[in-house]
Amino acid sequence: MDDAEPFAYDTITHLEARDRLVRIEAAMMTLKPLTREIFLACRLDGYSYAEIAQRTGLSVRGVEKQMSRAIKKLGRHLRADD
Amino acid sequence: MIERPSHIPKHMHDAAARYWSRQQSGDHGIDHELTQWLEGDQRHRIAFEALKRDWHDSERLIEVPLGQSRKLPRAPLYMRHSAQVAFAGIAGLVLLGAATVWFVRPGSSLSPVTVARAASFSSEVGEIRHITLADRTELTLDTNSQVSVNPKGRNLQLEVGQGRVRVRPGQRTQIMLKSAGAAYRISAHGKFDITVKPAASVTAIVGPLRLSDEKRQIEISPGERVAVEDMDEARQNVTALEMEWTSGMAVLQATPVSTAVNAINRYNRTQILIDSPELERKRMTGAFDVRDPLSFARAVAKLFGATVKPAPSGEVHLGL
Repeated sequence: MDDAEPFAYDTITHLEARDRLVRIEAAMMTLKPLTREIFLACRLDGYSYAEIAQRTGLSVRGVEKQMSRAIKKLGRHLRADD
Repeated sequence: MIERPSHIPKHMHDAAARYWSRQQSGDHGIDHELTQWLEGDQRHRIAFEALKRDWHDSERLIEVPLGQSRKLPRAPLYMRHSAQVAFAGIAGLVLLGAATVWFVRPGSSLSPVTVARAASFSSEVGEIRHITLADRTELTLDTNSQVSVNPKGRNLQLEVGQGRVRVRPGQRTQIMLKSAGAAYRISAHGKFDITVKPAASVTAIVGPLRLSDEKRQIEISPGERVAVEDMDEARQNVTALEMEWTSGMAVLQATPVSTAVNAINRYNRTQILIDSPELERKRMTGAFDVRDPLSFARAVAKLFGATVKPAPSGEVHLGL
C-alpha cells in the first residue's frame, strides 16, 4: 500500500493534465482559424507580434487584438468547467 | 476568503487578457500601469495568475495534432494593414472631394464667386469682384463700385461705379436697372456693361440687348453705349480700353495719355498727376496692369521722354 499512493497521485495528476489539454484543445477549436494560427505561432513557434504581422499582413496592433481575443476565449473555456 | 477564478467578474478576466496580450507584444510601457492594476484589487491578481497558468499549459498543444499541423496563413485582404491603409486613403480622398464640392458649391462662403441673395455688394479701390446672381447670371463689379441685388437677382441697382453682366449661355435675362429714381428693363443674352458715372449708361459687349422704360424701347448693338436717361441721344462707340476693364489690364490703342491716366487712377489710391498739357494730349498704345501705377508712369516717361516724380504726399507726377 505504501507504493500505491504515489502511483495513484501521479495517475490523477496525469489524468488532470490530460483533461486540461483536451479542454485547451477544445478552446482552440472555438477560435476562428486565423486567430488560432496566430496564437499557435506566438505560443509554440515563439514568433513576435511584428513577425506575425509581417507574415499575415496584419498590423502589429491587429495581431495584438487577435492574441487578446484568443487568450480571453481560452480562459473563459477553461473556467467554464471549473 | 480566497476567491476562485471562476467567481471573478468576466470584465476582470478580459482586462487581464488585454494586459497579457500587450505584455507579450513587448510593450514595456504598460508595466507601471499593470502593477497598479494588479495592486488595485486582489481579484485582478488572481485573474492574472489564472491566465498565466492557462498560457503555460497551452504549450502542451505541441503534443496534439492541432499544434503539430499549425500553419500561419495570410490574413484575408480586408483585414490586411496595407488594404486598410489604402481604404483609409481612398475614404479620405472621397471625404475630401465631398467636402471640397460642399464648400465650393455656389452659395458657400468659400465659393470662388459670391452668389447674390438680397444684398448689397461693393468692391474696393483696385478690386474687380465677381458675383453670381441667383439665376446664374454673372456680375463683375469694377473698382470702387456698389450694387444692390434683390433676392431673385433680377433687380439690380447700381449705386456707384460700373459692372458687367454676363448672361448664362443659351439664356436671355431680363434685369431691372434703377437709376435716378427711374427703372429700366434690360433684356439681353451675351454680355453688357452698366455704368452710373458720369451718367447711367448701358453698353452692349457681346450680343445685342433691348433697353426699355415705360415709354420707349431701343436695341443696342455690340460696341455701342447708350445713356439710359436719354435713349434718343446718339450712341457712342466704346473703345477696347473701356471694354477690357474686367481683365484688370488697360488696353490702349492710340489712347490719349490723359484718358489712360484717368483709367489707371480709378484702380489705385496712388494717383498719377500730369503736370504738362502737352503730355496729356499725346497718344499711346499698349496693355498695362491697372493696379501698377508706377510701372505705367515709367512706361509713359520712357515713351515720351517724360519725368516721373513721386511726391511725399503719395502722388506720382508726370511732366515733360
